[in-house]
Amino acid sequence: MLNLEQVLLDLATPALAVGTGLLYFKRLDRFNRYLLIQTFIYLISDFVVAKTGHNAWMYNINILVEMGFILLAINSLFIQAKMKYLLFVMYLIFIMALSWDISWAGFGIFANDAAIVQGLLLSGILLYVLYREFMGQQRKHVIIACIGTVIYFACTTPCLGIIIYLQSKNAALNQQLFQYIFVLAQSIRYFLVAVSFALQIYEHKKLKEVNPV
Amino acid sequence: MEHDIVFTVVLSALLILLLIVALVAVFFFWSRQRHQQAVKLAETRLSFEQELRRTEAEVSEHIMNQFARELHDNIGQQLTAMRFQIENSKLDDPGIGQKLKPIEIYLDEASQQLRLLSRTLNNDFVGHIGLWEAIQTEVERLRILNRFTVHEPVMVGQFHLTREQQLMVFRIFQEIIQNILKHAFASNVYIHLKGSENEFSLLIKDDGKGFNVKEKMEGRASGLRNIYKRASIAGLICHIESSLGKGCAVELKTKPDGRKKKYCSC
Repeated sequence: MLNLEQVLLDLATPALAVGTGLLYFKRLDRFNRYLLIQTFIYLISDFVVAKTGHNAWMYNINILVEMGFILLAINSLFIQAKMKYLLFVMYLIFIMALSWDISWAGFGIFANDAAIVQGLLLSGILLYVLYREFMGQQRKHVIIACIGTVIYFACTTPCLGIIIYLQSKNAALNQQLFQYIFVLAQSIRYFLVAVSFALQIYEHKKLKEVNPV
Repeated sequence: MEHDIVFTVVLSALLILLLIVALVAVFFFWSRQRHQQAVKLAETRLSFEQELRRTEAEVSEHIMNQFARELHDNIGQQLTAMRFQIENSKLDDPGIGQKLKPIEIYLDEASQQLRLLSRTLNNDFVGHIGLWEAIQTEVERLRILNRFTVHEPVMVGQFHLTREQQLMVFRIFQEIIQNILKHAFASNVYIHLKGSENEFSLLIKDDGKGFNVKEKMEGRASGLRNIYKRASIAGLICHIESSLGKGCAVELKTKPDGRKKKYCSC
C-alpha cells in the first residue's frame, strides 16, 4: 500500500486531466477523446495499484491499453494510409516485445523491455507529430499534448532500463528514483494533457467566432 | 555503485528533457521563420501585382490619350475639311444648299460627338475639369445618342479624391455606361454622387434586363472584372447588384478606413 501523500501526488494531474476532459467532452476532437479515455484508464489502474499495492500486472495491462489509445489518437491526426500502416506496425512491434517479456518473466513481473520499446517508439512518432504540427496546422492542443507525452516517455525510458535491476539491489533507492522521475514526468504529462483539453475549447470558440455557421 | 547508476539515469533523463525542450524551440523558431518568409513572399507578390495593375492602367490611359488626340487632330480635321467643302459647294451653287442641309446636320452631330468623345478619352481633360464635370460631359454625349433617358446626375456634398482616383472612377463610369449601352436595353439611367471629407460614393442604376452577377463573373465577363480591378487600383470598393429583369446598380465607394490611404495602396 502506498501512502496517501504519494497517492494524491500521483493521481492529482491525471484526475485534473480527466475532470477537464469530461467537462468539455462534447467539444473534444478524436485526438483528445482518445487521450481522455487513456487518461481515464490510467487513473483507474493507478487507483487500483494504490488500493492493492500490487502494481506489475496492472502496469502491464496499462501499457498495452496506453500504447493502443495513444497510437489511435495519433492515427486520428493522419489521413495518409502509409502513416496508418506505420502506426499499426509500431503497435505490432510493441505487442511482440510485451509477449516476449511476459513469456520470459511472467505476467506478475513488470514488462520493462516492452515499456522501453513503447517509450522509444512513442518518443519518435510524437516528435514527428510535433514537427508536422509546427510546420503545418499548428493546432495548439495537439502540440501541448504531444510535448507532455513525449517528455514523459523520453525521460522515463532511461529509468526503465534499470528498474528491474535496481529493484533487486536496492528497492528503496528504486522507489526514490521512481518518485523523482516517473511522478514528476507524469505530472508534467497529465497537466499538459489537461491544458490541451482546455485549449481545445478555446480554439473551438475562436473558430466559431471566425466562422459562426 | 547503485548511486552512480541512479545519478547517471537522472542526468540522462534531464538531458533528454533539455533535448526535447531544445527540439520544440527549434521547431517553433523554424515554423516562425517559415511563416515570416511566406508573409514576405505574399507581400512581394502583392506589390508586384499592384505594380502590374498600375502599369496596365497607365498603358491603357496612354493609349486612350493617343486615341483622343488622333480623333481630335486627324478625324476632326477631316470633318472640318468636309464642312469647308460643303460651304464652298454652297457658294459655287447656292441652289444646292437645301439638298446639303441633312448632310450638314449629320456632320454637326458627328463633330459634336467626336469632340465630346475625344474630350472624355483625354485624361488631361478629365484631370483638368474634374470628375463631376467629366461625368456631365459624358451624360451630354449619351443624351445625343438618344438610346435611353439619362436622368440629371445628382451630387450631394463634396468629395475629395486624388486626380488619379478621379480619372480611374471616370474610366469605371465609362465602362459601366458602355455595358448599359451594349447589353442592358435600359430605358432609364440614374447617376448619384455623394461625398464628404472621408467618403465618396458613385451609384449608377439602370432599369435594363439585368443579369446574374455570379454567373457573369465566373464566365468571360472581362468588363466586369475590369471594373473591379480598376476600383481596386483606385483604392475603392465596387459593389454590383443585379438580377434578371430587375436592372443593375453599380456602387463605387471608399473603403471603410477612408480615402486617406495612398493611391494604389489597395
